[in-house]
Amino acid sequence: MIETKNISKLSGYRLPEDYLDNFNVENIGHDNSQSGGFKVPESYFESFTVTPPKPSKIVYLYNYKSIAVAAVLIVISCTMLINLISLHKTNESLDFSKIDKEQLYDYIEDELYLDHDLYINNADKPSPSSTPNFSEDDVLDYLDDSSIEQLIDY
Amino acid sequence: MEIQDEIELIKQLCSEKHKHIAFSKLVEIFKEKLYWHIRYILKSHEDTDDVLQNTFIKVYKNIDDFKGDSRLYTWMYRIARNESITFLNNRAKRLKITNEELQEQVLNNLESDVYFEADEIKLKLQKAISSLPEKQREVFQLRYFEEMKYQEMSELLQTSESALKSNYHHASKKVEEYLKKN
Repeated sequence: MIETKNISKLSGYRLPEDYLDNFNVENIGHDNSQSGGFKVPESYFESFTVTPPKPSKIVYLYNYKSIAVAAVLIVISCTMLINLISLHKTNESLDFSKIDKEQLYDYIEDELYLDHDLYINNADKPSPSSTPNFSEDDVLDYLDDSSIEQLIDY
Repeated sequence: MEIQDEIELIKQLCSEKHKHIAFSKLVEIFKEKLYWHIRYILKSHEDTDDVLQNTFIKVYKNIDDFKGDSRLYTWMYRIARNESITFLNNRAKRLKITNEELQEQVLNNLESDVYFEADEIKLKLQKAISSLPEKQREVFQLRYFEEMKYQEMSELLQTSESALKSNYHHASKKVEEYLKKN
């Protein structure tokens, strides 16, 4: 038997030991008549516990966020690359009218080792068939004696 | 639960240090209310137990995403409701039957359920409730069994109070008629 602080000692009332600690009101839970007939196993709520899940130690290398970011970056870089190529192509489109004639001559001469005079100015020069007729004396004057002998031998 | 206590509890749930203790407190406070909320939807104790566990685990995992737009219990009720509906849909899909057929099956199982008072009137009442359209059934259960206030119900179901009152009125009439006829 114990005395409690809440009751005057003069009253003479005393309580059984641990009475208040063990006190509970029976059937104070959900009223079954109002629960539509549903019942709960005995002391279900008293023993009900939820074990919180432990944080996962797995590190996902490819989570959705990084995949999405990577996809966006790839799309952007591909678009930029395509634009760059198309821009480059339009710049490089050949327009012969803009080429300087002098440069063209230089190129042909340097790269193809051709004498441009032979090919390009040929049109302006008289054809071999139209060369002026040399007189026989001029030819003989031009050729020295040894050359004439060689010709005769042939 | 007062708003101030609720805010404090949410703070603790979001802190790594106090999360575990705060979660135990949360379970203590809401387990019974959420249990009955789920039980009225699912009817079977075993299924309710599973869904209640899932509900609390979902709450634990997603508490950081709780923005405080509504009261904590409303948010938890919503999770419990969604989990219960998903559970029923999955079961119906697995059994390759419609939701209505599943409801009928659940009611038939109720008669032999050890955790149901095999009382003819109570069974009739459950059958009457099952015959209601989905929205009316939900409102009737929340109001009749859980005695939820219209204001709370409005927050939970995102429906105006007047619409909820009308739903409850129609549901009550239908239940009454069903009980009279059968």
